[in-house]
Amino acid sequence: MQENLIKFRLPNSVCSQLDNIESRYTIAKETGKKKFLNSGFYLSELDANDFDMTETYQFIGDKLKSAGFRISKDFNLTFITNWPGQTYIRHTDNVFFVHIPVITHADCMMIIEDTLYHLERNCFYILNTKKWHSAFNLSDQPRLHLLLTAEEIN
Amino acid sequence: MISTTDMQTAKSHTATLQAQETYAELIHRLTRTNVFSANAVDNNLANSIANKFFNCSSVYSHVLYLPSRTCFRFAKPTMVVPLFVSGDTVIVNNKHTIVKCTNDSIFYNNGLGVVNTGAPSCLLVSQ
Repeated sequence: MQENLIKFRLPNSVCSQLDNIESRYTIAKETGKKKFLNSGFYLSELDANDFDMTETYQFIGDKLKSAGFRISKDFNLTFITNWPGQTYIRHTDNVFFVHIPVITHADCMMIIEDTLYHLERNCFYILNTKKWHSAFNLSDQPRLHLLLTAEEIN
Repeated sequence: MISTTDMQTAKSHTATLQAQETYAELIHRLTRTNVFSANAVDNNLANSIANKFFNCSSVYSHVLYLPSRTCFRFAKPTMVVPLFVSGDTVIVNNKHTIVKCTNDSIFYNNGLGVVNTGAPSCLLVSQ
């Protein structure tokens, strides 16, 4: 993978599932903030196992295959929160990450190499996280993404 | 029998360890609570810079300390003069462009964002 990211649009059925997650997250976000302040690092306050993500998982799996990727078996679907004013340290990963924005705002950005990206809702992205990258949230609301790892099919 | 020199070495070693521990605790606390501080400073320097480079005047100035792993966006038109920055601090301009924040640059715009993707930074901020 040479490009920084590949973008895919999600179908309506998957988008409505994200709406459902968003409504439940609004109730849970205060708990998550306490966890964040206590631990000093982001933690998921929603469990992906609480939702039936079969359709989402299947759709993403098929789309990844068409782009020459597959979902890694050693990483489960996880929620990740980026709190207002929080930045992730610039780093590289050993794997490609798939991001599915659930709650996002115009001021939530990702930097890959030296380019700035805003990951839009109702889409999902394969990010080239093997390159130097970081994420930050300049808005006043938390950003919630679903996360998967992908590997290239040789 | 323990000699005086050994005692002094041991005391000095203990003091160093305690100092290191306190520093580590302080850093840990700052990182945990995401504390950033802004101290009001004399406006003359910022005003001369604003006059010279942007043909405008500054009303008040602060020295802003932004810890590691944090970011901050200014709502008003703001001039940012980096005082101590690492190569990991970036300036986001109008949500579109991104500029590496270096000690030899001055930034001025509406809605500037400062993002620390590495070490903490110290900036002269003027509005």
